[in-house]
Amino acid sequence: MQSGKTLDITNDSCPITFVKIKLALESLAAGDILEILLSGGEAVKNVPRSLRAEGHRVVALEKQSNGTYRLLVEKEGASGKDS
Amino acid sequence: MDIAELKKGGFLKQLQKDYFAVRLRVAGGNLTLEQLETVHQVAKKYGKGYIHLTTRQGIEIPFIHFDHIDAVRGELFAGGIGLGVCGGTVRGVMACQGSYLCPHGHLDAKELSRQIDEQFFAAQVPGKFKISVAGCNRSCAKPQENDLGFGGVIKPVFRENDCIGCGLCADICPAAAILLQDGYPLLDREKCINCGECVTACPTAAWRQGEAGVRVWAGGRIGRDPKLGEVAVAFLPLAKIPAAIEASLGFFREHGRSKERFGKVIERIGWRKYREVMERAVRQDA
Repeated sequence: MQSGKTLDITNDSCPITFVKIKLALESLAAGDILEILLSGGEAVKNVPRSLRAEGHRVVALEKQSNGTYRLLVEKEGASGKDS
Repeated sequence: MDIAELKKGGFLKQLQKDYFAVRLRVAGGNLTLEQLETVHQVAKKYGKGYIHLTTRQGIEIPFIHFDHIDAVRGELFAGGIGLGVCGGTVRGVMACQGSYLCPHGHLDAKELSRQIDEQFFAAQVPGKFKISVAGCNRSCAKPQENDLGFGGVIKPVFRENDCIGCGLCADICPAAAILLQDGYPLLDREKCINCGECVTACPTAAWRQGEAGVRVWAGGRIGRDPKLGEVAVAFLPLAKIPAAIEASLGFFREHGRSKERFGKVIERIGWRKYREVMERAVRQDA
């Protein structure tokens, strides 16, 4: 799946990660896909989960060969949402 | 009013002649602003311009003169605050923030600490008896440092339809109990430690919380002979918590010597015997 925008937060930690994602999502329309590159450990444990909790849809999460993760998230508010 | 009676009621004798530090009853480290206002007023009127935060999430108001003890007690009660305890009693119950607001929590630790306080606070036992409640196995409320400690645990359940096959659960499981098979997770329930990390981390809620319970640690203490508590029950259903506490206090009363710590009693009588008492008390059909 292609994304409209990419955000790299592999060098950030909580709560900076959340602030950057929030700002990135604000610039998108409902249903748009944001690609987020994030580090393993606490970031990958917390970021995808909290995006779901805020109503966004996690489309995919892939571990990269360098140990970081690539996350695709769909901004909340799109029609035909299944949850 | 004698000193022993004073002590039972939460008045701690100070070095300074005729002055006492007044220990307040606090459960789970929470006070309403109204209660805090009462503490402020009483400390301002009778104390020395400050309060002391205890290591167990409690409050003590130092420098209360002997002559003001009844007035202080009365004004605190009127403001919705009870007195703490000392000596051989069940002390103020500690708790972390728990699942009420913490993303990691699997247990409403504040609510459980409130219930335990309501039912067991100040119960008489041979020595001091400290209880703490943590919402998950991160143990922020240090349940292993208490005579009896509880930590939220859960049994994870899986819904394949919601899974996107990301494998995060298998990556992060601290017990290595999840393996990927054909791209989907498979849980080894023998290895599972019920920590709930998979449920917390899952980005699509394919892992969900099944039955909730607590892990019980017993015999922990700091003091002169520090020791972490040992797991007494690995998974205890929430409804059995009062029975587990009752059984532990009963064991303490039956075998404990004056001022002995609970863990020392267990070590002297034997873990096997204590675990038998606990198992009998928390059996599903009991």
